[in-house]
Amino acid sequence: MTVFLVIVLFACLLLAVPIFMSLSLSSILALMTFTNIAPEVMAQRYFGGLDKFGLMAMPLFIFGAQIMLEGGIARKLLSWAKTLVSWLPGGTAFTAHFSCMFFGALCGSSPATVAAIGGVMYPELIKEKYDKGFAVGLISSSASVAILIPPSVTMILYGVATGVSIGSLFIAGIGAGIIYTLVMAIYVYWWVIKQGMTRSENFSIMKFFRATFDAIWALGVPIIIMGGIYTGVFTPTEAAGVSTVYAILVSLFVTREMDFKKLYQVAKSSAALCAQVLILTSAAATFGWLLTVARVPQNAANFVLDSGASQLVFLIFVNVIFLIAGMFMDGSGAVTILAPIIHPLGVALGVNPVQLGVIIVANLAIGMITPPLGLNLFVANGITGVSLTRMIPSVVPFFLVSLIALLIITYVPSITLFLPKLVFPGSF
Amino acid sequence: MSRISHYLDIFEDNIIAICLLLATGMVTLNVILRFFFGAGISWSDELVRYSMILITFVGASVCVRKGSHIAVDFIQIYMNKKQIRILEIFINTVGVIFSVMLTVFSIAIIKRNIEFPQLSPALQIPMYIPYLTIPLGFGLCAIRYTQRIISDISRKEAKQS
Repeated sequence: MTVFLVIVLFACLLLAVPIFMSLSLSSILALMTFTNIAPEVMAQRYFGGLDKFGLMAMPLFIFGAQIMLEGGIARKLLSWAKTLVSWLPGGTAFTAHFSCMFFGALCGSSPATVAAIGGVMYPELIKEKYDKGFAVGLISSSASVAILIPPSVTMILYGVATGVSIGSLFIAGIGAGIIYTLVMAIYVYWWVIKQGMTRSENFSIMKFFRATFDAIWALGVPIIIMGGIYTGVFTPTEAAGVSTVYAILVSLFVTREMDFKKLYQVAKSSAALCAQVLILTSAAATFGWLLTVARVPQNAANFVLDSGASQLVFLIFVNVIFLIAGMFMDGSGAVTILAPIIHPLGVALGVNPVQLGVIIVANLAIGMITPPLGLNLFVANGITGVSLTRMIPSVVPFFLVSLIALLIITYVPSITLFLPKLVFPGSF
Repeated sequence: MSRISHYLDIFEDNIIAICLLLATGMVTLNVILRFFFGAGISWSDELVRYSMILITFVGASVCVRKGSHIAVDFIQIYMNKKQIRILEIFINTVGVIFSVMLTVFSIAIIKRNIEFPQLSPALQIPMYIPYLTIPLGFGLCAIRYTQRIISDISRKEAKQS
């Protein structure tokens, strides 16, 4: 049954059948061929896969991010990031790099970050005579951190698929995201110095204060999200709802870049975007249920335990599996299909479930820039017009550097677990 | 035909937009009530979940119309235009079959629910009402996929003549 399921799934995927349909079709066919379970159950499973309040954080965060893009909040945050780092040599490159991290705190999707930051920073980089390939490579690679920095769509899906607390995952993601960004910043610094760039302006504390004042409304968003979850005032789903309403109010009445008509337009396009990911989630949940019917997770767990693998070997295995998955699948798809299988293995071997989640999400962040299916590259291509063949060689060094960051995140658990231990003492 | 399709577009777009705004408002309202008055609305979570489920299934049809469902489509790099069109007709046909299957399955579930009524825990509505979103969504998907096949085939003929 498992072999049949996998063959049908891969055949469908290869023929470019939409992922949600490939997952469901293979499940329905396997169910009809190998079991006596009535296929009607599929409809019920589809419904059940969505009927979870925790999952609702995802569409709400997607909606919120769209509002912040259209309502001017995102741009305010960008100019704040600029005053923070533009005094460094190669200031524009660093602005692009660090704004990706800050933007990740507003939005939980890497491709959306490429679109937002790339649209503004790419023209500026080109104006300052940066190499085209480097500029595109920088933006598409830096933006991948957005799914490590909370809020994160991928983490929500991981939490829903495995039952790990989404709040803990969010807080653990902060440390991992900062390490990821810093390691890459070292490479950017090296590149900039090699190009012989010098600093063009000095850091001005007055300018910084003024920009902070300007961006105060934008900075409110991450404060609401993390503060609310941290103090236990609300759950991640409620944080998503509240921050979205906050963004709507700021866009309507403070920045005044949005009226009710535009708000409604954004709601329309965001809802379609939400459906695109949600249908995939419910199809994957159905597929995951069928895997448990076929006893795949149990058998895999027994196999790993019997083989006597150590944690060290297991984590290498996880990294390899998810790096490969990231090449061919979107992060949401990979998490929903593979996480329910990998998670029990990790728990059986004594890996901290929150750290395992962060490691997996870090892998998928890298998967955003690895061809053939690297969503960030496609979006960057759409925005800048630089061809994929031109882009890929300049992404390679960023890919190698992010592997170093991945190794640090994997083998130094205290980086990820330091903050959650502080926030939720006792549960770790 | 095209007018019906136009009204369908409007129906789909508006219903998912309204549901998204409703869900967002509902979540926030509930937080405010709980924070300031100590008690939230008990059926708020359920309403939010069911609106999102409606968005998922009706939105799935919107995604078919826009061609925005996520797929692993690198095989198309190795194909010429004619092969891509044949592949598209094949995918859309699979889409019709799949959507019809899911519609039939969900109608069976709904029938059983009407025979043996079951109420949702918080809203106290019969469970077949939220289940109705599945045949609605996949029924729309089936229409959309059929439309795509028709436009694929007619495009092909137009080019040949």
